[in-house]
Amino acid sequence: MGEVVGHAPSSGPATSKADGRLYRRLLRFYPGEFRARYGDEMVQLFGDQVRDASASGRRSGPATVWLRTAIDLVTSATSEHLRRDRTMAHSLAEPPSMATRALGILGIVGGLVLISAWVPNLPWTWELFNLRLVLFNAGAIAIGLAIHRRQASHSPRLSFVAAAAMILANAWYLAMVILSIGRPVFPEPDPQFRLVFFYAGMAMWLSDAVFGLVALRLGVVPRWAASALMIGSTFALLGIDRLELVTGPFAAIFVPLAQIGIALNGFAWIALGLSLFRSQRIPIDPAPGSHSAPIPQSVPTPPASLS
Amino acid sequence: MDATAPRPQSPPLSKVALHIMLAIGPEERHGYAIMSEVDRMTGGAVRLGPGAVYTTIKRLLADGLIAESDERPDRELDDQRRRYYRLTALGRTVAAGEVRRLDALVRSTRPWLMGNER
Repeated sequence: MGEVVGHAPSSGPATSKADGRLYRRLLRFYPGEFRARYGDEMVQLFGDQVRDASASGRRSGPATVWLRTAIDLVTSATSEHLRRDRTMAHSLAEPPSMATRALGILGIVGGLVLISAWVPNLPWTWELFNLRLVLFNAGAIAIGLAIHRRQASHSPRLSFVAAAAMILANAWYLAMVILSIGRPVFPEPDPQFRLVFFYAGMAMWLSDAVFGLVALRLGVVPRWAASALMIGSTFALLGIDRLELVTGPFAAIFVPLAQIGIALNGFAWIALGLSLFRSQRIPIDPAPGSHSAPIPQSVPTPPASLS
Repeated sequence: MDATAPRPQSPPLSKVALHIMLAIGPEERHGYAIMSEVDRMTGGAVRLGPGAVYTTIKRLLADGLIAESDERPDRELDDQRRRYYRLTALGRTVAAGEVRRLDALVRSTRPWLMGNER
C-alpha cells in the first residue's frame, strides 16, 4: 500500500466563496451522473487552485486560473458528453420482444388511419369513421404501454403517471366512441352525452401532449417524434368544436392549425411505433461512484477508451 | 521483436491518462495532489484543470487502472472529504508498458532527430 500523499494546499487568503459557487454552477455543463459523482471534488480542487493562485501574490493569479478552467470546462464537458453518447451507442442492445413489435404495429396502424382523413375519395361513412377512431385510440394505448415499458427504467414514477393518464384518457374516448355507435348522429339529442364526449376529447389530447412532453424529457424515443406528439396534440385540442375556436372569428387560423395538429399527431404515432422496432440500448457505463470494474487478469494492455 | 514492447494492437494511453497515472505513482493522491504533481513533473508544461483530471480519473477507475483508496489521512492534516486514488496492479503494468513504448520510440528516433545537435 502506497503512502497517502495528501498535502494540504498552501495556506493563503481564504478561497472566495463566490468563485466556488460560480464554478459549481458551471458544472451543469457536465452530464448529470458525472457531476453527481465528481462535482464536489472538482469544486474542492478548483478552490485549492484559486487559493494557491491568490497566495502566490500575483494579481493575475486567480484570473489565470479562471481562464484555464474555462477552457478546461469547455473541452472536458464536451468530451464527456461525446464519450457518454458513444458508450450508449456501443452498449448492449436488446432486441424488441414480439409483444413490443405487436404494440408498435398497432400504433402505426392507429397513426395511419388518423392521417387517412387526408386521402381523397375515401367513402367516409359513420361506421368507417368510428372504426377509424377505434383503431386510432387502440394504437395510442398500445404505444403508451410499449413506451412506458422502455422509459420506466429512466424515471418510473414520471413515466407511469404520463402513460397511465394517456392510456386512461384514450380508453375513455374509445369507450365514448363505442357508446356513440347506433346513436343518432347529429344533432346529438343527449346534451349530457355530448358534454362527457367533450371532456373525453379534451382529456385525450391533453394527456397525449403531456405524454409527448415526458417522452421528450426522458429521451428514450426519437425526440422529434415526441415533439411532434406534444405539439400536434396541443394543436389538435384547439379543433374541439365546443371550444368554438374553429367556428369563431378566427376560424381561418384555428381550423388549419387543428388539422396540422391532427396530422402531426398521426405521424407521431407512426414514428413512435416504428421506433419500437429498434433494439433498446442498455448503457454499460459503470454506475456513478463505481470503481470496481472487473480487472482483466491476463492482458496488460490499455483499454481503448483511454486512447 | 522486443519482448518487452507492448503488443501492436495495444492502443496507447492518452497523454493526460499517462500523466495522471505517473503522477499517482506508488503513492495515494487526491485530485489536487495529482494535478500539482503533473505540473511539477512536467515543469509546468502540462497543467490540468479539474475537468481533465476527473473525466480521466473516471475512465481510469472504470477500466480498473486506478482505484479509490480506503485510507484517509489524519483529520488534522487534510480534508476528510477528499478522495484518494492509487494505481492498481493492472494500472502499474499498463503504465510500465506505455513508458517502455515511449522509451523505444525515443531511442529509435533520437539518432536522426537529434543528430544535428551532437
